[in-house]
Amino acid sequence: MYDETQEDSQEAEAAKNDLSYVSLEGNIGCMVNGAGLAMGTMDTIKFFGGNPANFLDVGGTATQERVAKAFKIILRDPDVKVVLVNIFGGIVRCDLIAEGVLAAIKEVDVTIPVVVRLEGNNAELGAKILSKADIEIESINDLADAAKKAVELAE
Amino acid sequence: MSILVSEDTRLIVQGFTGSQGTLHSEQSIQYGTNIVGGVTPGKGGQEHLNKPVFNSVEEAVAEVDPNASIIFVPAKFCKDSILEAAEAGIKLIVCITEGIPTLDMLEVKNHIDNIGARLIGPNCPGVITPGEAKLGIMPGNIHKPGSIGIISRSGTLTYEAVKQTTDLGFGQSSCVGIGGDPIPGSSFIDMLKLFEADDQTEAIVMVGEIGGTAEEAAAEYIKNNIKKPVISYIAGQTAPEGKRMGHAGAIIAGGKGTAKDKIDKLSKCGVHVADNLVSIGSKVAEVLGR
Repeated sequence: MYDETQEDSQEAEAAKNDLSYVSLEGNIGCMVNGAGLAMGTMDTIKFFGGNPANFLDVGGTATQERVAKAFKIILRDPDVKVVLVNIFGGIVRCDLIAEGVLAAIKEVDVTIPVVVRLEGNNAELGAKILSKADIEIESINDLADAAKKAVELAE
Repeated sequence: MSILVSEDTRLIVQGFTGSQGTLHSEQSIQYGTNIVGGVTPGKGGQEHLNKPVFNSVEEAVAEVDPNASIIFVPAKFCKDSILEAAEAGIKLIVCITEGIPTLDMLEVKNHIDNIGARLIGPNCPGVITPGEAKLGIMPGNIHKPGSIGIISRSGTLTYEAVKQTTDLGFGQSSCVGIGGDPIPGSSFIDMLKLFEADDQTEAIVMVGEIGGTAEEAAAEYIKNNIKKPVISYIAGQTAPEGKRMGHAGAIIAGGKGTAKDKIDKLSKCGVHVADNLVSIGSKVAEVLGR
């Protein structure tokens, strides 16, 4: 018998929202598209001296709706001090993803620092949209630099 | 040369008229892939994206002579679609769909091996030979024709490896996503064999992840059979035990399938392991001495 009350509360909430989430011990929240890249992002954070708070695969499309749900789940963990968003755009254009991420941050009212790394189709345009936003977002195109920044902000 | 697909590929799309089939077929056609038609049961005789639609793969084979098929149908229909393509004589079948039951795959794998068809995936981004043909959902613009062969269990990690080898000027001969499921149609070893025999490929990048023993088996194979340099990255060094990390096959169970075990084995077998996701490209440059 499956009993969701026996599950980690964030993992149960994520499962309900069709997001793949595993909670970990650290303080850097991760939101990534793709399971492999999500693991790779956690490893990169660790490599630069930080500790990931979770595994989260937001899925291939990374729409505003899914990103907002993902933020809500990550922010339920009181240890999280910063969120690193790592999206490799693929078929979906990065400017559209950037707009979705911005709208989601406003919708959820995120008050901790957010580092966003966008790569792929129209990545530069995406970064420009993020940097013009009236909320505090670090937009960093290089994954190593983005991970280092997140580690620094989590200290 | 390249492996699996080239400008000679004549592709049909199973699940052609669905939303995913339509989106990715449009992208593939734009990339220059020769799509000769599609299959959607009940829509035979229509045209879609200016290509003919057939009711079955058999009909498509008779009319437009395809030599490869890509599958975008929902998971529960994939077993039938893969077997239909194999039985109609298609020798290369790429299945993108995630969530096919493992028992279905067990049956499919046995059957297609007997027929002699090759299946890439399921739960994968597909196969691309840059500048020639794109059979999959990967963004075409990050690729560049070149000398590195890439094999990976993960979609977005493949894109990372591609981007890094493009940025450093190497480019790719072909890139194959073998998929993140416990029973893939093709293994790392199957692809290593093809890249070893391919003149255009100078070095091979193999991207693995936690779970199973595919990387260990590949390491042993590389030691005994592969003369080209192999660079590897394994994702999931920080993954906890007993939790499935998104992909059905990505789980450390009973202490088996850890990233450390895989990295140790690969290193022992002469594979050049990048210690981090961001250093795959620079590891390639280091190994090739430029």
